[in-house]
Amino acid sequence: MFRLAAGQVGEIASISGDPSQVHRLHELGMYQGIKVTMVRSGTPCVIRLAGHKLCFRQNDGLEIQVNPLAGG
Amino acid sequence: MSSGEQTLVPSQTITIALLGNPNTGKSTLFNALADVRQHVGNYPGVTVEKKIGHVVLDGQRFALVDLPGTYSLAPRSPDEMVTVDVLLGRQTDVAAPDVILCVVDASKLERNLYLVSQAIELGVPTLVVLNKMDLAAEHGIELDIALLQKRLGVPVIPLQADRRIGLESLKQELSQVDGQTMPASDIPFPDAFREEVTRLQNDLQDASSEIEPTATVPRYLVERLLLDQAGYVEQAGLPGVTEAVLEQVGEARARLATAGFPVPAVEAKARYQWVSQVLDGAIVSQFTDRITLTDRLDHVLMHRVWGTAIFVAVMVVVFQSIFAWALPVMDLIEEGIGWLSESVSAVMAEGALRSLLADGVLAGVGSVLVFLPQILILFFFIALLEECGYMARAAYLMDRLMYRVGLSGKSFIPLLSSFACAVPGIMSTRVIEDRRDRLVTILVAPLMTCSARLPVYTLLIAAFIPDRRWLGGWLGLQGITMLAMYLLGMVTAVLAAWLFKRTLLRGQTPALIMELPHYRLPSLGTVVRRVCENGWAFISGAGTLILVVAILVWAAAYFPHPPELASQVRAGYAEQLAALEQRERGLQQQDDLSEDQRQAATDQLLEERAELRGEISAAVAAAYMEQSFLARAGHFIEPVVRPLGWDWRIGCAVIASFPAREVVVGTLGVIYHLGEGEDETSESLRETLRSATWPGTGRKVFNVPVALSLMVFYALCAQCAATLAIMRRETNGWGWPLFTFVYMTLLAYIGAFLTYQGGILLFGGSPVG
Ligand SMILES: Nc1nc2c(ncn2[C@@H]2O[C@H](COP(=O)(O)OP(=O)(O)O)[C@@H](O)[C@H]2O)c(=O)[nH]1
Ligand SMILES: [Mg+2]
Repeated sequence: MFRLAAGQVGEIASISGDPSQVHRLHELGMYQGIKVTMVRSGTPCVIRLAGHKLCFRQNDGLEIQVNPLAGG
Repeated sequence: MSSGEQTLVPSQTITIALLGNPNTGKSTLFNALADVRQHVGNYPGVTVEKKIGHVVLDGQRFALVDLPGTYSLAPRSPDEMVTVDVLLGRQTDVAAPDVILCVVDASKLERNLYLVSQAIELGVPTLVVLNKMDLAAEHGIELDIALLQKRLGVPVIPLQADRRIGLESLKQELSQVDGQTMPASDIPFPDAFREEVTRLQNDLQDASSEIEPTATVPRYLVERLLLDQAGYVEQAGLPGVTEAVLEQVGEARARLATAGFPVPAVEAKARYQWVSQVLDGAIVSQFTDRITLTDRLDHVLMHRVWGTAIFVAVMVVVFQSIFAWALPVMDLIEEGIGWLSESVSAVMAEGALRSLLADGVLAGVGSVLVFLPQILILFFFIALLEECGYMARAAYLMDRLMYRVGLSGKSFIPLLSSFACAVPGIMSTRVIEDRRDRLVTILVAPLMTCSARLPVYTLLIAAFIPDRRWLGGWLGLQGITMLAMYLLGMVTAVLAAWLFKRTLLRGQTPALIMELPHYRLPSLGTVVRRVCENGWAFISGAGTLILVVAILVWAAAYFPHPPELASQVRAGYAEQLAALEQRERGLQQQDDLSEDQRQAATDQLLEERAELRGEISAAVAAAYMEQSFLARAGHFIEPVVRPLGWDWRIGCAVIASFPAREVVVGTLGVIYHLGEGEDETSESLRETLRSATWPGTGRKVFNVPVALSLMVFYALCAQCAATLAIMRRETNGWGWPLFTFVYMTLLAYIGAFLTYQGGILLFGGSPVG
């Protein structure tokens, strides 16, 4: 689950679930190994990655694992 | 492949397809480049609009094809498949593109190059346009264009489409394309993956050659078949995609997974690896982690409390303006149409043709035009909110609420717009990517209380709901009834959406994945262009149908029209008329009157005469109405509507208002012996309705339960040809509009039945039928 608090930085460990949602996240630049910053936690959440912001909702169809990074 | 004759474009022209992520500026570029624009409807079977533009550069003709924005060439819906089909030349009515013009947002290069990496695999000459260079500069991004060009192996042109900066060099580059230079594509897919693709392609070739020896499946689609689980290519019925081949696909995926290249992650990995190779050193500098204006705005605008409050305020302003600006214009249009139809009546001889023009065609045109101001204003606000980047924030804020219903935040604005008019609401559902979510939103949008219901409510509430007030006049029974009607529509919509999501359009919980664009000042030109495009789409999409239906209803209400009926009715008034004339003559013979007295008496007589004339023409109109096919239909359905407390005349009015709900007011006026031209506020219409009785008895037709049942019916029914026509346009077929009509009419009937029967139990009064 998304354990990052607002302002925290993490690295995507894995994205799994509904193939079309996983695919869409890939296309939007969110894939394994990328660093993301949580902007607004909760559902839906807002994250920043590589200069742009994404908003998405985690639900039964989508599971994202992140490793929180120190600092940020 | 499509051949020259079949296409919309002569074969010596060079066809250029505009490809890019949503919002990168494709349409802006399309409009800046094309001299002649053609809007050629939809691609067959889907709701993707086909836009083709023409331009001549250096004597060479070019045709531009504006494709819908897409994040990738991995089709997941029929709509996205259109983009891929056009690019591969598999779409029969558009020529295979000779050049792909890839429009890229320079401020989001990394993500945009993902699509570029797919495009250059198609084996079509490609140009890359780096658009929004101004935004990139704002973000401190500095690019080495020459290096990028070398790495990509295709021309790269920096541009600022909305200010037309760089357009000349793009034109220059375009006039030099020879259709020969292929992009150098070497996406670092692992060898294991390439081998699997080759193997699959051979399998497909074998399988398809048995059926269609000439058919080949492009390598790109084979890749997609392997990569996209349950993707569109699997279901699209390509030649050779058989059960056996699909089994092979499954095995290939399993082999790849054990080799450490699981599908679909292998694609993202390979493509982003390529992207970072391309960009390495090409991005000279870039600000990182800078707090932008957008961030500061989002801090407030996306705040749970402040953001929501601002959102509500924005919506109040929007709705306030719709009613404040649209109403005067609507009145003007109504007056204009009224004046026109009076002029027609004045210059033409009485007869079917005059009635057709005045009551059929003009009334039909009027019912299209009268809602246009509202619709355009709504389109304006929707375009404005989208252009400045606020729409995505609204979807974020409303997502929690909509999620409970089983929809995503993106459905909120379309549903809210439907409170003014369902037409723009339905047209704005295009932003909803998920097909099922979009359909559910379209299906329930007409349940929202649109402004066409207001005349009906206003009339019936004023006539039959007692004006009781409490709390010093702040809380009134009439107001509460109006509110109850709004709530009824809303609650029913929520329940219907919930039900559809669980039965008919069952699917995963609705996904919400969206980009939050940067805020920007909207360009007036773009907003105006979108308003015009949407307005025209409404007129052309719904106009004809409304007109046809209006004429049909007119014909039903006019024919058979026996000519002797009028004189028969007039004969019935002969005595009264004679008496009046008698008095006139008497007045002339009286000579003991002063001038003033004579004048007063004459005026009095003239007034009586005018009144009598009005009564006679109303009686004639009503007599014709009573013998019309429409009335027969009303009598025919009377047994069906009796349990709702209605008589045949209400039944008639309901049938006549099929093209548009508000027509019921006028029809009730005619049928209950009133001249035409009554509106919902007219005192006499209210009086007439109050005093109407069942034929042959003194029992009143209307009472509170009847009025309520009629209102509930109009709250829930789908009596709006425009909505149904737009639904057909947006869902590409009559199936869904038909379904909507049936389900809403059923709901309306049941609702009206329960209201009436419940009302009888509560308020007393004798049920009929
Ligand atoms: N800053 C900036 N904005 C642009 C530029 N070109 C287009 N836009 C804006 O980008 C938005 C999306 O443009 P549009 O043509 O509708 O994109 P499409 O979705 O790819 O068709 C619009 O608000 C345009 O005004 C540009 O060069 N710079
Ligand atoms: Mg566009």
